[in-house]
Amino acid sequence: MGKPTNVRNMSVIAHVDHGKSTLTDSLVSKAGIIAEAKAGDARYMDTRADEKERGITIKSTAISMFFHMPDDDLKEVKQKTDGGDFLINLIDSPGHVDFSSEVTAALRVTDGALVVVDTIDGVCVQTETVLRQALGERIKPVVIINKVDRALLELQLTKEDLYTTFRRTIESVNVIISTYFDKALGDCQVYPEKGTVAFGSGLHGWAFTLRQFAQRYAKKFGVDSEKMMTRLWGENFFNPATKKWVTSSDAGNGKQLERAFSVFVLDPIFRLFDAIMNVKKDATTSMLEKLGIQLKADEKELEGKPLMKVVMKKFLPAGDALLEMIVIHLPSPALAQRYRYDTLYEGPLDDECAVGIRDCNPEGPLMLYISKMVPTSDKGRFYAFGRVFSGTVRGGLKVRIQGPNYVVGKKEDLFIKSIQRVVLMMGRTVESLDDCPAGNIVGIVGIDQFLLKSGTITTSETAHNLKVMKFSVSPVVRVAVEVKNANDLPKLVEGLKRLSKSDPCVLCYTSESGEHIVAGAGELHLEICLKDLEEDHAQVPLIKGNPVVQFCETVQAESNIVCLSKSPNKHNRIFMKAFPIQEECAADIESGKISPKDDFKARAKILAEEYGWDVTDARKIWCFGPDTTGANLLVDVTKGVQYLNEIKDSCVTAFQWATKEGCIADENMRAIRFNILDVVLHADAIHRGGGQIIPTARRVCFASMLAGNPGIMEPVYLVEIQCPESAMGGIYGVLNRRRGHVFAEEPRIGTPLYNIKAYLPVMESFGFTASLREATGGQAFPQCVFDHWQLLNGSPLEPGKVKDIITAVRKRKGLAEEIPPFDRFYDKL
Amino acid sequence: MDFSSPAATDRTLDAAPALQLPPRAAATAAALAAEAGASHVALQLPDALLASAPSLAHDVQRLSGIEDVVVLADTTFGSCCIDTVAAEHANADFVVHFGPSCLSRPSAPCPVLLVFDELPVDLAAATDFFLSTFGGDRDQPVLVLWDTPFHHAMPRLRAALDAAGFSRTVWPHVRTLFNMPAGADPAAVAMHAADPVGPDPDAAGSEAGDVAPVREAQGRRYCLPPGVALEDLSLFYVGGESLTLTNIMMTHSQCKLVAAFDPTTNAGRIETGRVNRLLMRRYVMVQKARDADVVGIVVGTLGLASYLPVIENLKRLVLASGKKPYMLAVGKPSPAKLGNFLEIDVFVLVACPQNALLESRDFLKPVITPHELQVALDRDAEWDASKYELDLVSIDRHLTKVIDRTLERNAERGRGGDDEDASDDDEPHFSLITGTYKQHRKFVTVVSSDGAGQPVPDGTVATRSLDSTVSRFVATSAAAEFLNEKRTFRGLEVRMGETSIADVQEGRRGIARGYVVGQSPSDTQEQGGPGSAKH
Repeated sequence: MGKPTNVRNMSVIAHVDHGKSTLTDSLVSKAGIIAEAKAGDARYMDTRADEKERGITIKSTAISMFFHMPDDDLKEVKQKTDGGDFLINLIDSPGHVDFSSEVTAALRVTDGALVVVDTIDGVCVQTETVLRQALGERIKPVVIINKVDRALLELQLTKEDLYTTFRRTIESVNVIISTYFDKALGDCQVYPEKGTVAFGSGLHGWAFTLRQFAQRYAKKFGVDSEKMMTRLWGENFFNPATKKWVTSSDAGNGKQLERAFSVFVLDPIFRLFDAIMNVKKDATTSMLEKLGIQLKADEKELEGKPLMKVVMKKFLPAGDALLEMIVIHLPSPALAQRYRYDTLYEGPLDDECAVGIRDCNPEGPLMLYISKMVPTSDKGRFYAFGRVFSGTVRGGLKVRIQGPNYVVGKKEDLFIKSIQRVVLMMGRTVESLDDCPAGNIVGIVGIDQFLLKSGTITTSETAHNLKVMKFSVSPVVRVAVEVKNANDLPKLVEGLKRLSKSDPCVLCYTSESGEHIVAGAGELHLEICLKDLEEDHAQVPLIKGNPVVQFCETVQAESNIVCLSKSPNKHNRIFMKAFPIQEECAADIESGKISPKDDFKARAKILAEEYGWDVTDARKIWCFGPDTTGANLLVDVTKGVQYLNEIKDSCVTAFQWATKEGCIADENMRAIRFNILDVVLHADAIHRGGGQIIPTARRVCFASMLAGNPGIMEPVYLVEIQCPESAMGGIYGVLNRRRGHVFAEEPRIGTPLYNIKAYLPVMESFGFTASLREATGGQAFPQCVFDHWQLLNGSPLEPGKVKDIITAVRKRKGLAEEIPPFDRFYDKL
Repeated sequence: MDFSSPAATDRTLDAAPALQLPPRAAATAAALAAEAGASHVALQLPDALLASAPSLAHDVQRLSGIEDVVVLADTTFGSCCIDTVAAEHANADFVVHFGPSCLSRPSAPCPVLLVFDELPVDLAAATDFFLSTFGGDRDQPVLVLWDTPFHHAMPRLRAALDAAGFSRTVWPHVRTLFNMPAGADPAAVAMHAADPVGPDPDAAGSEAGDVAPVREAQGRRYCLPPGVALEDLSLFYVGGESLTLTNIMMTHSQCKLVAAFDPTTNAGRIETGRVNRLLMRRYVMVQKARDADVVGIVVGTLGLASYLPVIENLKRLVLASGKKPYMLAVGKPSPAKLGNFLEIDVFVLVACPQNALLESRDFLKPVITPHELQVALDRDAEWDASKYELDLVSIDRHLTKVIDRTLERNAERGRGGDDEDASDDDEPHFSLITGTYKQHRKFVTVVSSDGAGQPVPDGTVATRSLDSTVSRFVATSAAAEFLNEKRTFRGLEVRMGETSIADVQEGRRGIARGYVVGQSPSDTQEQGGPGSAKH
């Protein structure tokens, strides 16, 4: 632990059901934490009852394991090491897209990722998503192709077919990796011949890399194992007649040669499978002897699958293959932090903290990033789970706890407290530590009450924050909860607090109308959150409302007239017009590409060049809103107005307020640009104070919005479905009924499956998974991720569907059912 | 509706003049003023009744023989309360308040008479509606409440209901006469003043010793019959849709059933749901107040009993919670007025129960009631809709308790305090508004000391805590911090270090209608300071 070069921090990531947790068992059993026999079934990392029940991972779970690496393997490690003892901090993450915030939190604290891919399903939607996330965080991937047993036993593929499947899968992984090429990270593509790809079966507990076979054959052929490895993959053939290696399958005598991979790697496995599964006892015994596998007395009695499991586990233990791949090919913190530090740290890259992180220096100032909170057995308390990037953390150390909104030199979101204890996370248990140096993943006790979800812990007074994580999912589906029994309200409030701590993505708040809202990324996520809330966090019976979606208010055209509002004292006038902002521009603002923090000149340049803004206007953006970051802009296009600067604060306040609670349905506004055209102000400062300007500016925003053909936007999911051709009809039917439309449909090469991509309004997505399953006989499983906002056809002001929706929203919020008319906000000159 | 019947036409005619004083209004006022031995009588009239002011004043003068009769109008905070300040200006020693009233006790020591306007009640219709609603079980406890214009008809309604066999109706006591001097003849007073309908709970309490606590619904005081909880009670309200009804329902939200009979339309209805939604909205306000660091106490009354102690206690409570209080007197609060105080996070309005609830979405920052602030700042308190309170007097009692508790906690922390980790007072709380943690900004530090010997710096508020040590609050200026940190506008031209230091010059003074510029001797004007010399 004290040697950062001998630590590996890694996460296991993959599409749902590709076998992450099962595979992780092999490593856990290798470390001696669970019995070898149980590996594959135990799903040790699934700590919750419902995870076991449903067979899916919901929370990411961390475990630390010690391994010893034999000396001859140690030679292969190309990076600096110190002795043969290695500490592997592993985080098993959920595969379902609704929980991808857990993946994000896991990736932040690790340096390498084990990407699990199903042999049969190949690279799936979520594989791509997590891989993209990993590369974005500069995480180095290695790949294991899992469930090879299924290919052998169920599909009965030939050796050449299997090779093609493997090659195709690896190619598709590499395509994704090269798409997100990052210079600092270098080439991350995976190659079997370099040992960065493993093949195996998590369920049966076996896996191999080419290196293992190469070592076996290297002596026989008298070449070094590295050279042997390259020969075991690709267009390499061994001609037994000539005892020569060739690169073409033509043996010269009209015969076809089998590729080396098939002959040397797959053949033994195929033969073993064949012998055991077809109960050829003699062949089995002789093969076992040849391979040097000894069975215990009771194991000898086994036949068929159970025997095969035992044999394969002894022949090619998955733990060994994975361990070797992790230790040799994944970077140590010392190595990784050197290229990651600039993406991790917000501050200047030459201050003591940045240098400490870069060098992974245990003597440097403490820099620790808390990526999530893990519930303790003590109800309501949490371990703050995170990674020490620099310095050493120990119990009793007085630290600065910096929340996500902390700004250097300010007191906001800053606490100075002592750490109580430091623990090592061991799956379902913890172990106390005296201290923990840079490069490790730890749990901290005693600071959870100061951080909601994530934050930076440091000892340096000048330290900036470590960068806040950006999640790929957003909480767009919300449900109102209330207590069955009014006296339980305090428990619900406490429960909501605990729920928001325990999940990186969930949002709990109270709406303006007094409802307690829980917002999650999707239906499943919300279901789990509500279950946790009711059973663990609040422990009181709850009434759950129907899921509702958030809408956005926008304009569909430029305001048809210049709008004017007068202040309550009639001495001040503001003239304004609203314009729609292009969808791409709004998306850029939301993704942070155009942000209020940018230099205004640089920002103006982007706006002018890409979105055709007038440069002078673009330089005079007063603010973004709502919440100072949203995709609405307040722009000053006035000429020579006296005292204008004096009312800027008031206008900004009013704009934030107006964009947060629009006049149509009290929802956020989106993609509106408000141009202040002219302002007439009273000469006496007392008559143009905030009280006069704020209501006026808010009213004129509403007026210009109502004059600009207001529209309503709804969130839309990107749905990806993999299914056989026979199920497509059902999918189309369900999507059509729910206003969804398919925009891409590709056959998956080498499989009978199709990949369907569609857009589906979130509003229509409730119960989508279930009805899809019904319509396709359980053959289609959708993945829904929030993708974009889409304008609803029609106007909320005219009778029609949109108006009905808005009336319902207004009713739910307890507002007057009629949208306030234009002349309530517009004043005549 | 049958428009040909004379009843229908009468009704529309009745509804047209909104306020109609009883014919004996002037006589009652004159008699009681004389009884109280008054020499200066003030008549307070709402705007709608101002037209009848001259005749009223004349009649009172004539009937009582008191020369000095003044008419008070255009009250600062709402015409339902007694305008004590104006009455004091007029040196009045007897105030007659005409028209709709919030029935809250006045703070003035002088005698006050309330004369309600009157509207007719169709007693038969009211009784019928009552029967149809509560007829199933004539033994159930029903609390009868009414709007002031229907006060005159209540004794008759009571008699009618008693006759119908409702044995357990509860009738509140409505006081129309306050602070009568001890020398006044009770019999004469009783003859003239309006019938209070229900028994005076105070008087009953003094006799029986241990009766149920006195409850209050917008100035209507009553005691629950023994063995009856508020949950068992139903409400019968005579009057139209009004703030009074809303407020009664807010404070009696746990009552079984609320039935309202509107005599102006002769229609009855069962009120449901609406109030729960309102209470939920108030709950959000309380949550917002929890997040607030700077609290503006808006003075919305100057004539209500215990308004001063409530304001003082609110201030202490805010200070004891480490927040910063500002006190504002802006007359009737409006979005434009309160919008001028951007540094304030939440406003608490101290006003008469009828005007305390500002249900408007036009305010930038929430405006809450003292009770709500107390719930928000009391760590032990939780939002409980059934304990909703609008009456200032009972709020004041609670406030004192809460402050004592808070101070005690502070003191305890102070004692255990050297070990820094033990103090978790700066622990952030989970804000239900934003769904994140909210860190408190500390504007006030509580300095506990024995108080003796140490000089008290200016601008600090001293309070006596339970263990008789003096807790001192040292507050920093939230407004200054706001100007420094949040506001981008820093004045027209900031010429830091470029202007030479000069004496302060006398500038304009006076009020906005017309400022006085330089009334000082003209030679100083001419000499000018360094500032004016530049011209």
